[in-house]
Amino acid sequence: MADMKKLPVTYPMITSWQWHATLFSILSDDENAKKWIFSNYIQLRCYNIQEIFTGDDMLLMDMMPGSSSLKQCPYLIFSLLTKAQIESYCGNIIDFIIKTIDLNGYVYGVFDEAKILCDAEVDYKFPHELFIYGYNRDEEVFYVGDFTFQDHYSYNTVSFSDLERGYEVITEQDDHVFKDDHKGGRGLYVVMKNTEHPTYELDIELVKENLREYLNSQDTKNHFRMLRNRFNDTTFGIKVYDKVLSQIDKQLHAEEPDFDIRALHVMYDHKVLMYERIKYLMNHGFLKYNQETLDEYHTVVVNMLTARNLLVRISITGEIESSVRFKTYLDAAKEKEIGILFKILAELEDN
Amino acid sequence: MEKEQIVKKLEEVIHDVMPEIGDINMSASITNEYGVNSVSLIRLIVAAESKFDVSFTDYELALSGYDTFGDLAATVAEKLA
Repeated sequence: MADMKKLPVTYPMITSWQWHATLFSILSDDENAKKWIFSNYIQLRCYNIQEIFTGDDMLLMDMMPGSSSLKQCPYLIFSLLTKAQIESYCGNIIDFIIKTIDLNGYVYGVFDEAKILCDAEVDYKFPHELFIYGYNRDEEVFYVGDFTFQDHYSYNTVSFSDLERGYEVITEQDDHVFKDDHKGGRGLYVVMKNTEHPTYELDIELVKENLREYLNSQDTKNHFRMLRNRFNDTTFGIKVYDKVLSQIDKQLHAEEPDFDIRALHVMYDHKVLMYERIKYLMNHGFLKYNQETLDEYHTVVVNMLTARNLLVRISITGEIESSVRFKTYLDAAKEKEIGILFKILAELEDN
Repeated sequence: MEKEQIVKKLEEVIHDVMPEIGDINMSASITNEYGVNSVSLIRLIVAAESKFDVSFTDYELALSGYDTFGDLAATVAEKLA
């Protein structure tokens, strides 16, 4: 075994959730993978859940495919290993991760990041997904990607011993990745790149269908009910703008206003990716190159970013009266986006 | 206000908001060198507004507008001019 190995990563184009940051860390500079990425991530959906850690009401926003993207992306090879398998095959988690990285496998799963971050013993857990892409035996560290260490997505190191502690204390109940998707249990994902051959071409029919469903706020999840049918109160497409406004309005008028900007961050990432998609479609002949359209869509990106930043500012200063401007930015983004995407859909349907 | 005074006062703001930062190089990358992110930048801007009695527009809250603390000082200087 080598003393040190780092699998390739690129700082991700979008970072809103750990599963997206992981997939884009592995794939976002790959030209084949872009064909799948730009065929997907068009539909937005949101629903209310209870936050895992606090129990607070939370609007969970995501692009489709959501957290299942690591399993479903054809440019990745996905394996699931239970804790029992890991122990049986390798004896301990450190050897397992090192051997997996030696075989070019990235590791993803839930660890207690309170154990990883705090030197002192703490009586609470912070179970969170961690993305592991390398190791250094001399320094006894793993190279990881996560949001927890610097309050934004970043690549850091975690010592072998902290990571082992963070792994061992997670129970089946704490492992929300396995609980949600794999009928309980405890384990990790191994993800490998599968980008050598173009196994998935840009699917322009899927792009058109996704754009139609996004613009008409149609229920895209109905296509996938054979896989999952847990949620029936989901809002789709353009209507998520109204849902997010209503959620923020509720938070603004609470006795102690407390803002959750995650939904807005997902919407901002959605606009960033849509801008890149439009550019890609123009550069690859699916749309006529039109700088004016790109510039106009860029104002959607800017207005979403400004809305998000203004909400951060309000949360710091408590200037609730500024929320009038927040609605203005969101409304401007929505109106402009509808106009541009209908125009793009019409051009794609004419071709 | 002289440029040097602006830099000195801005350094005080940075140390108040991000006490973990030691010596400040006004030309170094604020993201790579000092770990400033979109939220901490807005904290810095809000504190700078109060310190210098200036106002930043909503569009000026974007992290992409500032590569260095020197860029932030330059924006403050423009507002004070």
